[in-house]
Amino acid sequence: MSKEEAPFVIFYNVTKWYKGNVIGLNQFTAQVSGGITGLVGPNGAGKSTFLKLATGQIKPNIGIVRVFNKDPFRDSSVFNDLGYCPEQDAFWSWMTGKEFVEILAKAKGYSKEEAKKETTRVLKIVSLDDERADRPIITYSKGMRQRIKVAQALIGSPSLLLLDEPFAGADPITRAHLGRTFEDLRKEGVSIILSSHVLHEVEQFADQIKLIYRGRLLAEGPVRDIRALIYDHPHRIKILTDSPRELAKYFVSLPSVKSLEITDPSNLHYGILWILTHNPAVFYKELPKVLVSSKVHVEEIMSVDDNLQAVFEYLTQ
Amino acid sequence: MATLKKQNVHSDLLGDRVIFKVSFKRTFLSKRGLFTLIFSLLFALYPFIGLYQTLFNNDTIFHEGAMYSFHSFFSFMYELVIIPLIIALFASYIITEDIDDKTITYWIVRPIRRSEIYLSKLLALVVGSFLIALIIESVNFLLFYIIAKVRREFIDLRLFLFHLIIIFIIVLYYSTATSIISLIFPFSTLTSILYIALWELATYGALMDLGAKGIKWIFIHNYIVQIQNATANIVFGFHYTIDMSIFSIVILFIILFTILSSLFIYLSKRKEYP
Ligand SMILES: Nc1ncnc2c1ncn2[C@@H]1O[C@H](COP(=O)(O)OP(=O)(O)OP(=O)(O)O)[C@@H](O)[C@H]1O
Ligand SMILES: [Mg+2]
Repeated sequence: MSKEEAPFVIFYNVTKWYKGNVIGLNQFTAQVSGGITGLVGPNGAGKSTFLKLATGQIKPNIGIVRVFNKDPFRDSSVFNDLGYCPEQDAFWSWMTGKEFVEILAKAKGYSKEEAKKETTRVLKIVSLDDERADRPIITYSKGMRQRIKVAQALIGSPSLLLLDEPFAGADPITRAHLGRTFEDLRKEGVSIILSSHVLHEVEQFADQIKLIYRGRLLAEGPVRDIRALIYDHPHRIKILTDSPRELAKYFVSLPSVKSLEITDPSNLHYGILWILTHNPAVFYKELPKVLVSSKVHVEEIMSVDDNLQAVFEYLTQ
Repeated sequence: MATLKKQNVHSDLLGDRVIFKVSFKRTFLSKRGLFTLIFSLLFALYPFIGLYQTLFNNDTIFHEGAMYSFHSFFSFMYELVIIPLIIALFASYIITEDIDDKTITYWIVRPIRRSEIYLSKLLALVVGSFLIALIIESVNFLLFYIIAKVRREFIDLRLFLFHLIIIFIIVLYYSTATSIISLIFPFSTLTSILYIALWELATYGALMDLGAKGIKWIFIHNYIVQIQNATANIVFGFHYTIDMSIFSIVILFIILFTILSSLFIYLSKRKEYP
């Protein structure tokens, strides 16, 4: 049994729906091993649902969730070696940053003195080890709140960190700083799963990306592969016209067009011209000119993969 | 698999103590706690007026003696009405507030069992409610005590102790009962309405000796009233009839408390935080 290879987090065929039949995750199967894993997907994709299931805040309706081979919903010993940074800003209003971290260190089993030491250590990692730590958290900026949330996740140097949108609301400096912190932790052998709604936020330092969309795992793999996948993902355009062959001649020469296909449904007055493109932006710019010069009657133009395309464009913007 | 860190020698008790402290502080050492205490003490104006009359008008509203007046006033006003209500309000707060503002997440992701998280909160509720009840009893008892002293009436200090025990039973019972309701219905308005319904039902069960005799036994206040009457029998030498022995009533409360807290633990283990 190789220690390095065993996956920390296993999701097997997990389905989770919330009250009112809202689906959070849909037959989701995935594994996470070492390194830094980025969960990427647009709002409502299911990233937080994934992390909440992995931290036992909720339990799946169907399927199996395992962290360190244990069920995080039932077995709290999982959290001896796991740190979690929640998405929302939830704090006890009267606490200073230092008190907040100290109390959570005590909740992890540290004695008073140990908790003080541990607090100093983790605050140093997120660069909050100055007089700001003695201020109430309610006076913190968004970036500082993100950092104090990450700090409490680092208590006890867990070997697995689950961070829900740690970059949200952070300025470029904080962002770069947090990114470096995560890279350092990875060098120390810590596995990190973090979520983001944009790819570029995590791609500089993530080893693995998991693309999530509508509760499903869309794609997974190294950053380079994911980039390639998104880039190669062809965009299909369907043109309804009375003379598709005629029109096709005008499109062949366009560099943005990858391939053309014609279907003539016999019972239809119109034929269909399918166009595959890798560069929809350029294609749509050229489209009107082509249509005008061809003088062919076009009944309808439809973009078939709009949904997915929009997702990809959004993720890579 | 992950290696367990040596420095994480986890002590359950330490984690629990932190949850107890934070829950206690936020619920009782807050404006809400202070306001509730002041509001409850407003009812102590009644003995205060009695004291004023005794001192300055040489007259009193307490014709049956100050100690007995304390007994009947405290038994009805505080033990059957105000204290259960206070507990219900704090229970709904202590259980639902950190779920509402999501701070519960920080406890869930610590190596502390779910049931322990809730038992710590329940303990905070019991201790906090008991302290408030103790302050209320002390203030009231002190006022009546002074009246009795001024009027040179007999003072039996056991009365204070007996009511302390009654308060303790009430606090234990109502804390678990109302916490369970909060766990099942985590909506503050709904819970409040349910509490009040529960409390009304219980009060009427005890007070309506009239029509509800047959089902009297299902109302918890029935038993509280019996312990109160037993207290009067001991302290004042009255001869109220008691249906059950005090011993069996206490056993009954202990059994009830055990059943309720088991149910509470069972529910807390299954609770999700979406
Ligand atoms: N507490 C909840 N109650 C009901 N539905 C929920 C709840 N939490 C999430 N959902 C729904 O589940 C789906 C997935 O939500 P989730 O929060 O996991 O998405 P996300 O990827 O984290 O999105 P975001 O980028 O907005 O944080 C969404 O459709 C959302 O509306
Ligand atoms: Mg989210």
